[in-house]
Formats: sequence, C-alpha cells, structure tokens
Amino acid sequence: MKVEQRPAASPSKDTLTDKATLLTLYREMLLIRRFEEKTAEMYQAAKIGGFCHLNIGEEATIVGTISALRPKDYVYSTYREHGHALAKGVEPNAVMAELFGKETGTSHGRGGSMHLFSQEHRFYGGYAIVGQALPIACGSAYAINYEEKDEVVMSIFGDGATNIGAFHESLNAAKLWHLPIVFVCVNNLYGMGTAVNRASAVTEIWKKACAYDMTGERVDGMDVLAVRRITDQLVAQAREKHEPSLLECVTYRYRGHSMSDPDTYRGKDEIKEWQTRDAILSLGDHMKKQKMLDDQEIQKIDEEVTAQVEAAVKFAEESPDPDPKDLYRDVYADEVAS
Amino acid sequence: MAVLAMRDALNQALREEMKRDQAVFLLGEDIGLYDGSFKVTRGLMKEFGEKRVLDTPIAEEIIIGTAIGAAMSGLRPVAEMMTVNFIMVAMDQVVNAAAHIRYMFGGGTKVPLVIRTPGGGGHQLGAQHSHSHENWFAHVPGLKVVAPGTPADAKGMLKSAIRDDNPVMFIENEGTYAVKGEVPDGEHLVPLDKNEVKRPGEHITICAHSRMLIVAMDAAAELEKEGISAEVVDMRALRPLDMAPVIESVKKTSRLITVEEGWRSYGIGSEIASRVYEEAFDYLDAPVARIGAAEVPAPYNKRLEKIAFPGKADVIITAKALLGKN
Amino acid sequence: MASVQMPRLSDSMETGKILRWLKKEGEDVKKGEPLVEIESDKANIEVEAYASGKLSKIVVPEGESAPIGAVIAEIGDGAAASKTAPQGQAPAAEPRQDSRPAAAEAPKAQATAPAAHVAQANRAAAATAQTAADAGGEQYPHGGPDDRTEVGAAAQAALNVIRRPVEQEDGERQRVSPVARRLAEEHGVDLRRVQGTGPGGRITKEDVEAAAQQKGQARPAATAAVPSPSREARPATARPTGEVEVVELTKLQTTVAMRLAQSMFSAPHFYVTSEIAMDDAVRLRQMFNEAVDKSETISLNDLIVKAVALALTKFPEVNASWADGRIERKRDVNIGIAVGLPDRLIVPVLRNADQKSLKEIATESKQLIERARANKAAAQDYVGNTFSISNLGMYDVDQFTAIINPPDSGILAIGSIEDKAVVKDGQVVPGKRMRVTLSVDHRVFYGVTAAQFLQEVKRLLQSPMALVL
Repeated sequence: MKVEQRPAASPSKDTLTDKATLLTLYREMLLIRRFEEKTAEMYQAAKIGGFCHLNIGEEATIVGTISALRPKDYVYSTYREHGHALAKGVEPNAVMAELFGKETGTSHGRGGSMHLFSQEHRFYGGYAIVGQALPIACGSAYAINYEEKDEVVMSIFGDGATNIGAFHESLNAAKLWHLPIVFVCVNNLYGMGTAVNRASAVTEIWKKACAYDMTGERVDGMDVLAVRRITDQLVAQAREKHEPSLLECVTYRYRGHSMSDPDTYRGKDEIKEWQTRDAILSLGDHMKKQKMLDDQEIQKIDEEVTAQVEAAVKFAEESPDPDPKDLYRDVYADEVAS
Repeated sequence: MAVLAMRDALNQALREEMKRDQAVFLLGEDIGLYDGSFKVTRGLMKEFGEKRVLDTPIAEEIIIGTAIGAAMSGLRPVAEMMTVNFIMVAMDQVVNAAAHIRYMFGGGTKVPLVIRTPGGGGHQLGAQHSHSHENWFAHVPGLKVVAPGTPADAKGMLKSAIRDDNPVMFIENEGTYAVKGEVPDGEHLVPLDKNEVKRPGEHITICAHSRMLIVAMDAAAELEKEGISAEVVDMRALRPLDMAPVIESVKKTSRLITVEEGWRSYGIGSEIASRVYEEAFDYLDAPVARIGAAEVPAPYNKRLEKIAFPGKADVIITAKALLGKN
Repeated sequence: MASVQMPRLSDSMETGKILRWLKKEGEDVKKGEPLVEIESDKANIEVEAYASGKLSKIVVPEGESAPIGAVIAEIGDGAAASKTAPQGQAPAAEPRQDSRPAAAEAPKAQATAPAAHVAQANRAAAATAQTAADAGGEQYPHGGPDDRTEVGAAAQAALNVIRRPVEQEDGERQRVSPVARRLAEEHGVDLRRVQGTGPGGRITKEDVEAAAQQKGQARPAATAAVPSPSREARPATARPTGEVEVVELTKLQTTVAMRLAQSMFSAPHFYVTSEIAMDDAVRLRQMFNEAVDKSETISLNDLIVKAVALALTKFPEVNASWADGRIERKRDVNIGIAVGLPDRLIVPVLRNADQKSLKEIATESKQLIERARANKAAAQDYVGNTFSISNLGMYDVDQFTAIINPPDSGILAIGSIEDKAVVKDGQVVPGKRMRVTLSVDHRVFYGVTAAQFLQEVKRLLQSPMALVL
C-alpha cells in the first residue's frame, strides 16, 4: 500500500488541523513503530546482523521534521536511520531487504542498517561515524547555492554529535556561507550510555547555535504537530532566506542504544514515564477528540501498516543474496565524465 | 610546447577545467584571496569569483566533507589540503566517507572529487610538517592515488583527475613547485593509471615518484658517467598501481631500487617489491632495495634533516652496491 | 652600536637592493619601526629595525645593492645597544608558528546578504592581496641543493641489506639468485661448478653468464674451424667389470633418433661424391673479410649455402619431397644448416636462401646458429627446410655420408678443405680441395640429376664471383 503524497510544506498553521495531513502523520509514525518492532524481532531471529539501532519512541521527531520537506530536499542522517528513510519515502521493502543484506536492499546489501541510501528520495545516508555527515550535508547545501536551486538540506544527528569538532565546523560554515540547511538534533538525552549532562557542557543543545549567531530552537520531540510547525518555519527560513538553523527535538528512545545494549544506565521508571507521553498515542487521542478518528479506524490503520511490514519481511526473505562474483562492483565509478 | 614551473602547470590545469565545466569549483584554506599558500591557485578567485574559489576556515573536516557532499550532489570539487600533514585531521572524511560512500551505498551515488595536497620534507619545517602519506591512501580501496613528478604530468593528470568520477588523491610536493619542465600545448591529458620509463637503461631499475623522481633522474645521470646505465621508472600512478613497466624493466636488469620520500617501512617500495617478487621472482639477481626516509620524526636541524631524507647520493651508492661495485 | 645587515628575505635571495631609507641619517629609530624598504629577488619588503637608537650611518645608499649579511647601516651610540644580529641570519618576515603566513586583517565575516559579503571581500582583496601574494611566493623555503655526497640515513637500511655479511652455510646448500638459477638451467650450466661472486658467495647472473660463455667457447660454431676439446682417456682398469653406464636421452635426442631412423629406413639412399677446388672460394672469402667489419664476416659455409641455393633454382627436381606416392616440388629454397653439438643435433632453416645476398646469408646464419646454440631458437626456426647441408669440415674429415633430413630429398655432406698436390695444365701444383657427398632419396630423383646438380654446385664454388652477385 503506497504512502500518500505529502502536501507541499507551508508555514500556515491550518494544514496541521487538516485531517488528511494528520492522518498521514499518524500513519507514518505508526509505520515506523511497527517496522522497528519487527526489526528488533528479526534481529533476534538472526535475520539481521551487525549493529542495529532503533527509532522506537522518536517517531514524532522523525515524522514531524521530515514531513516538512519536499521530495527534492536532502536528508542526511546517522546510523539510527530506519525511520528517517521511511519518512523520506524510501519503500519499507527496500529498507528491510537492506537490513537482511539482500541484493534488493537500498544499498544492494553492501551497507546494512547503518548505510541506507536512496538517490531517488534524496535520502543521502546512513553514516556510522558520529558527526561525519554534517560537513557532507553542508556540501550538498553548498551545491544548492552554487546551482541556485531552491532546495533545502536537513542534517539529522543526535545529542552526542554536538560535542564533536565536525559539528562546530559545520555550523560555522553553514552560517558563514549562508547555506540552506536545517540542523536537527534528536536529543534523546543519551549518547550511547552517557547522559547529556555528563557529556555536554551546555545541555540545552539549541543554545549552542548562538556561538555561530545562528537561529536555535527547542521543541517537545514527542509532539508531532509542534515539531512540524517549527520545522515548517525553519525550512522556509532556509529555503527563502538561506539562513541555517539548529532545531533541538527533545525525545526519547524506549530501547537501548542498539540491539546489543543491556540498557542499564537508565531506570525502568524513566522509560515508563516517557512512554506515557507516547507520540502516536497522543496524536491518536488528539484526533479522536477532534472526531477525526475512532478506535476502529485506528485498528484498521494498524492492520494495514502491520501488513506492510510483514510484506516487507517476506520480500526481504525471498530476495536473493548478492552474488560473490559482484564483490568488487562499484568500488569505483566509470571513468571520465563526459 | 611551453616551459612551465610545476605550480603554473597545475594552475593552468585548474583554469582550463574550470572554464570547461561549470561544475568544477575549488575550496581550501587561503586559496582565493591569498592566491594559495604555494601560489598554485593564483589568479583563480579573481577570474572565477568567490563561489567557485572558496576560501574556507581552518576546518579540514569541513573542507573535505563539504567537497564530498557537493560531489554527491552533482558538482566536481577540487579540495586543497594545504599540506598533507593536515589531512590527518580529516582522515575520517577521506577514508570512511569519500572512499567508501559509493560502495557502501551500493553504487547509488558517486564522489567525483579531487583532493590536492603537497607532501614531502627537507625544508627544516620539523616533524609535523614533513610527512608523505600517499602509501596510506594507496592502501584504501575506493580511492585513486597519483603523484606526478613533472610539470607535464602534473597538468595532464590533474585534468584527468578532475574529469574522473572517483575520489582522487592528487599528491603534490612542496619541493617541486618551482621545478620547470616542458608542457605540451593544447588539450593535454595524462591517464591516471599508467607508469612509464622516464629514462631508459640497462643495468639497474629505479622506481621513484614525485620529488624522488627528480632525485632518481639526477642519480641516474651521475651513474651514467661511471658507466652504469640506470633505467628510471616514474611511479606516478600509485593506485591503481601500474607495474607493467617495472616488471618489463626488472626482467631486463634483474636489479631494482625503489625510492620514496615517506618512511621506508610499510611504504610504497614495500608494495612494489612484493609485486616484483610475485611477478618476476626468477629474474632477480638480488632482493629489491628500498630507499625511504629514515624512520624518525623529521628533525629540524639542517644536516640531520639532509641525511634523514633520501638524496641522490643514497641512490648512487645503493645502485653501486647492488651491482657489486662497493 | 648596532649594525643593520642586509636581511635574508627569501630562501633564494642572495643580494638585495635598497629601495628607500625610511629614516634619515641622524634620526631616531625605535626597535620595531619600519626602517628601510628592500627589493629582494621576489618582492619589495619593508624591513623593521631590530635596535633602537640614532641612525648614525647609512652605509648602503638608495639604489645600491649588497649581499645578504653585509652591513647596510649603523644604529645607535651604545645607549640602547642590542646584540648585532649574527651574520647571515637576520630573519625577515618569519612565518607564523603554524607556518601559515601572516596575512593582513581578513575582512570580518558578516551575516549580511552574500552580495555585501563579496563586496567587502573585494575591498579587502585590494588591500591585502598584493602584499600577501608577494610575501607568499616560495613560502616553504627550499631545502637547498641536493649536494650531499656521503650516504644518508635514508639509504642506510637498504645498504645494510645489500652489504649484510652472509654467513656461509655449511653443507651443500648454495646461494643462487633466481635469475642465475633460471639461466643456468637454460644454458645447461652446472651450478656446482660455478664460483659465486655475490654477497655470501651467492651465484649471480653474471657468474652464470660467464660460465656459459666459457662453455660456449669450447663448443664450436657450425662454421668455426675449432677442434673439439680434448678428451681425457679413461684410466685403464685391471679387468673389465661388465659395468654399464646408462645415459638417459633428452626429449630432443629421442626425437632426432626417431626421425633419422625413419628417414634412413624409408628413403632409399644413394650417394654421389665430388671433389671441389676451393682455392678461389677461399681467396674470395679472405678478401671479402678483410674489407668488412669483424661482425660482418662470411664463412665458407655461407658460400656453400649460397652455391647450393642457386643450384637448387636450376634443379627444381632436387628441391622436392616424396609425399605419399607423389613428388612435391617446392617453390621456396630453404636450406637447413645442421648444427651439431655434443649432446644434440639441430637443423635451423635459412629461408629463401636463393634470394638472399651473401651478406644476408652470413648474418642470418650466424643468428640462427647462435640461437640454436643458446637454446633460444623459435619453433619456426626448424621448419620449412627443402634441402640441407651438414658440414664436418672443421673436424678434419675427408668425406662422409649424411642421412637425409625429412622432408628433403637430398643432403650435402661437406668435408675438410685439404691442401694437396693436384695436376693443373700438366703440372703438379698445390691446390685446396674439398670433398662433398650428396645423399639422395632415390624415389625422388636419380643418378644423372644428382651428378649434374653436384656439378653445378662445384661450378659455382669454383667460380665464386657468381655467388657475390
């Protein structure tokens, strides 16, 4: 079942009361949730190997930000990216196949969980080194200016990345060169096992923008509508004024850093507390209150989305492994541009 | 045919390619207003403007990272690392990103990027400013690595590198920017994967690249006076490593010396020697002799530095020893 | 008193010209103030004073040049005397610690629209570009000329390997370089007999080549008249023991044996002998060889080859083969030249001998024989013969009969040239005589043809000028 086309981004508040838009947001979040739950199951069934990082709990941040973009806008993400790719329009089949390491995956089985990619959807990866993608994102933004296009780049990273040199170099360059870029910090309060206050001298991440004279904003990352609203604004600012910005979305990941994380550094109570503020439940409640959805319809959406995920697993299972003969394919590109 | 200094040959290459393709742009520290630390980019900002000749902050990761992203998005950047010593600050971008992106994203994109960077020592600049790292880059699949030693090759290979769709490490040398040589007129392109004999000879083979090519040629000229005919093979193409002319030469001479400005162990010579053992073992009269910088951090003192880096005396004496003429 | 010396403003600078003194004689100068403008080989540089005091004397006036280190002015009266800068080390524009040159103030970055930023940059460019550009130049000083003559540390490791004193391993084990081993096998050199001159007694390519050369000298070329090496008689034994030494054949020997047997036993051979007066031929060869370079000499065999080739053009029935009940006459005249070595017999082929000049024949046969000797012949060297020659003349042989080399129908066996008493015009005079014997495949041609063919060969050799044409 295809995900509906996203309406064009607009700073107007009105779209965020439009049922169609809200339904889209709801569905996308639920798809990510069910997909990631299934991914965890598949990982434990040893269908997925290596490192596996899940977005469970962060759906509002992901969907709220990425839904504000146009198809030709770029997204640069990290290794915790499955939801980001899905939100940008990459097909669940291709994502799951990549997790399974199959030839039909987004990266033909060469990348895995941490290196998804889609030229068509301008989902520009998938990076395993913290902070590495920010300078690269600046490069695409520079190209937008160079070619005088009206596109925007969204660079998504975690709280841990805001203490690495590349983060600072990138914010400085973005402001200096007037890059059309929005830096989105998914502050889930932990960089692997280290809480933000043990790693960052400044714990309100949005404040770091001021060192570069840059717009800094902070939003409740569990409220998809709030996230979407502020993102609309910042994306417009980037697109129209070439003013970069830093958006801190405060959210939470319910599971450990990765599937290998015993998660002993957080209390169970903390996790439970955040789960009461679950974004999908909140939006569902909100829409129910607005009489846009009832329990039956919610159930139906859940079933549809679950079916999509099951279909993705089936697709991945049945897809072929890469041929060993192709081991050396694509190490290099064809020689000599025209 | 014109006689140009290395820096001017490179300047010409940049200018011609920027004129030819709007997607080509330059970025680096002090390349614009300052005309470049070594004057390779002289006049280019004036001619092409700020957008296409971007002066960056001192932020190596941003230089390489921005170049990578721009390349992925359709441009053809030529990034400068002011010296190869600074590239270590951005090794993550060079290796983990530039070299790997095409492959790990399943061929979904490409990174048509040139990183120009001079290495080398011998200028009393101390340990942190005297490195040569082409062997590190040549070790990495996904990168191409070239190190021209003449102005003609420099111009031709830089043009080819810019037109190549892969990340190319273009190794220059601080000590050769003023070296002059003949450069053909017109559209002069040199392939990135062909090494060649720069001086034919009969008794011994010498492999060298970059500034050491000049050292090897000087040594060969002196050896000739003593009746020793040395064949000098220019190893300007390091990855992919074109061994054909070397093997052909060794089959003729049976003796090989490799010369490099980087440290000897795990250097370029090690790879050349290994391949010679694999492909021409039965033609060798002695093990391959590898000359590289002495394995110390480069000393400041002038004399110490002179003996730490290879000079023509080293090549001459080693050649004679290898030929049994101590 | 402090001397102001001509500063070194660039690594390649040797002299500088005073452009402008910024202070007058008698004026006070403060340390750090601009004092003088100097033209180096690269740019005009403003140089500051390194001492405070009165500029008591200008030694080198404006417009004049001086070498680096020369005194160009004197400052002070001792009041603020500072150490004179050491000779030749007056630093000028020192590069900054991180070695990036000091540029003038960069324009302040402003978060204005790009256009304004560019305009600002352009203004800054006007102010700083010139000085910055000029000061840069050869920014990293050149290390100086490559004038070291003794070996440096850079090559030491390589030299240590080459010069490593190699312990002689006890026992049979020899050190042999890979190429030496390969060449030894090719040339049939016994490594046990070679003295190694490489490190640790390693046998090198040169050692093997020398050994092969010696061996080669002992082996006669097919045309050189060198007697075979003397053989040692086996020491007499008290009584014969019945012992047998078995000699295994090489593949080549086996093949030759089989082919010769086949030739002998399938082709009915008959033989015709003729004695040829070789005086003129010998003389012609001598004159010829005196006139040319050592590498271009002709041999008697070359003359014989040419004579035979020309004769064959007149006797196509001789230049033919028996082919399953039919006779094939060959157009091409390709002469096989038998090369006999102690352990093998090979017959390289000189193609189209009838069309080649004596000189060409000489050159080519030398090459063919050399290749055959050195075991470097190509496969096509051995095919295509239509007639063959076997020459044992250098072994003091009167005459002999040779076995036809398939698919030929004839082979000419050449004996030695002897000085004998001959009858000429009724007188007994000395003459040089050579006996040749033609072996014929009787199925292909008969006695009269054979005799006439031989007559033609004799005629050509006895009037050898015809061969030179």
